[in-house]
Amino acid sequence: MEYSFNKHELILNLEKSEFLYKDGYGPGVPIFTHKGIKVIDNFIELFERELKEKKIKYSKLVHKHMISLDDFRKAYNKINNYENEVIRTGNTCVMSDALLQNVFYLKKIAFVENYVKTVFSVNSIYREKTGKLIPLYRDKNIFPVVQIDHLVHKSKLNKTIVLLKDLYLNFYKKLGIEIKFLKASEVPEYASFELYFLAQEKSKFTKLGMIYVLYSQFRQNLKLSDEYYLINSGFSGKSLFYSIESASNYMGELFIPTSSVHIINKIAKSDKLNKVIKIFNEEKISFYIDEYEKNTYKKWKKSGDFALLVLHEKYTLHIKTMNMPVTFNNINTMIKCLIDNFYKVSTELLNYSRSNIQQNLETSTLQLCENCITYSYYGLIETENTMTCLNCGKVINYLIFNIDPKDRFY
Amino acid sequence: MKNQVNSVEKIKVYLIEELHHIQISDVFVIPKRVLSTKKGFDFENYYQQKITSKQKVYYLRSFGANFCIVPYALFKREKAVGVFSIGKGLYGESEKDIILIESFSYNPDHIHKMRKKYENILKKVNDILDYEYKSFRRGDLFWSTVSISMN
Repeated sequence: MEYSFNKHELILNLEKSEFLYKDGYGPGVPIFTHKGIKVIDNFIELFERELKEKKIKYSKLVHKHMISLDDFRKAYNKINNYENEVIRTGNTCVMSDALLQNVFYLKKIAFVENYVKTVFSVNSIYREKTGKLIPLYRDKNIFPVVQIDHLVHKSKLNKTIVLLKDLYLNFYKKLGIEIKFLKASEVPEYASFELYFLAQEKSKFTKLGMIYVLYSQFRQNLKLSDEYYLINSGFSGKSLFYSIESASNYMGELFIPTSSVHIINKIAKSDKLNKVIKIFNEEKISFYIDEYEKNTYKKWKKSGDFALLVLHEKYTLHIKTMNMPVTFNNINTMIKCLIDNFYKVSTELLNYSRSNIQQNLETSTLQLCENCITYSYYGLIETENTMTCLNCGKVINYLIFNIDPKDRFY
Repeated sequence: MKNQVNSVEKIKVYLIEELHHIQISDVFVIPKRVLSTKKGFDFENYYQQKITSKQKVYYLRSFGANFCIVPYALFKREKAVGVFSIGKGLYGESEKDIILIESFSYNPDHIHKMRKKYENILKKVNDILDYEYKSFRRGDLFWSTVSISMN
């Protein structure tokens, strides 16, 4: 059943499933259909629910696209020159990172509140890029860009990083993805602490997101007190693409984990439909309602959606992982079957992802402590359990990521 | 703010349910790209506001009925279609919630028919800041575009 989709093949399937339009507005500028928009909304909502579960207080922001070129230059002064990727006109430029506007907001509220301040933002940003572009995976118009920025007192720095790690770990688990944290130093001029979210990609690793403690030069540039640290973390549509890729590889056909249940109201009375809508909303199950067509089932089969519910005198449920549809008299039994199957497939996806990443760890890491490795290495991959260095016996909670630090990977 | 969300939602429902228009994602920057077609004219996606940055031309999502947002794939496939996108766009110096609606057809009646239907949108909500309508012929196709800026 498993299959290894290449990215081109997966995009073709997403186009056929009416998730996005072929070629969009040109390379790197995808256009999503109403279905794609809904999947992206579900993906963001899943993360926001996780934020709430972790009881993280935050302000949610959507920023303007045009920002001051002067502000941009001042913020990145002596750090890195990203101007070649930025589109500008007069004294403004198109937002290429939500960081600046998030920080401006944090600075503003810092005067009135005195605790860890958190901003959560979802935006589209634009970076002029060359090279191979793949919708969602690597774009010029990057969407969604999900970012959390914290302004934390230095006494709360470590606690906040632990909280963030837990947050991201759980979010990816819900997407059916096992991630590992890689501590590395790729952009020392940008961040004093770098933690990347690693996932397996064939026999290699790929990065899905990161947590940065920003370099002190940022504090100077942005005129922030030395007492506070700026933590920048987040991920992009690449994580969504990866979740689809991994799930589809496992299923052997297109499968979108954050898809909505496709409801077809065949001949049911509207009160029946209203009851279904009410329960779906209560259970926080995303759905969309469509009219019955002759090719409904065929369309659903290639849609990558998890479930199709047909309302008639009864409830007929088609689920991706079941060979045959099941018909229910009772709405609650139907909902239970839907939820049980969803959890079942989520667990299977996570186990699949876990076993894949484990294989990668075995081939690309060394069980040594930092003192016992004599040459330069990429970074340290954190482990859940402690182990001992195979050379000196020291207790360690990481593995050496044994690739050349110059071999930057995406 | 809540009213505005409701208004945008009302317009969206009208466009989908009454006019059978398709929602597409909103994109802020469109890099200039011209494609030749077999329909007697070159096809280009664009917005009203154009900028040049480092010798390259880009269009920025903005208010104004002079735009083309229909995805090329859809344009190639369909004989008549209506699409719309909802999102931030430039309105003068500021950024507002802007709805862009566009449709085309080979039927010459299309323009007259759509104008009436699009004008109905104005009657649906009362927090529209500005509105612009345009209809024109391009090759054998008749096009209508509407740009709405919310308060």
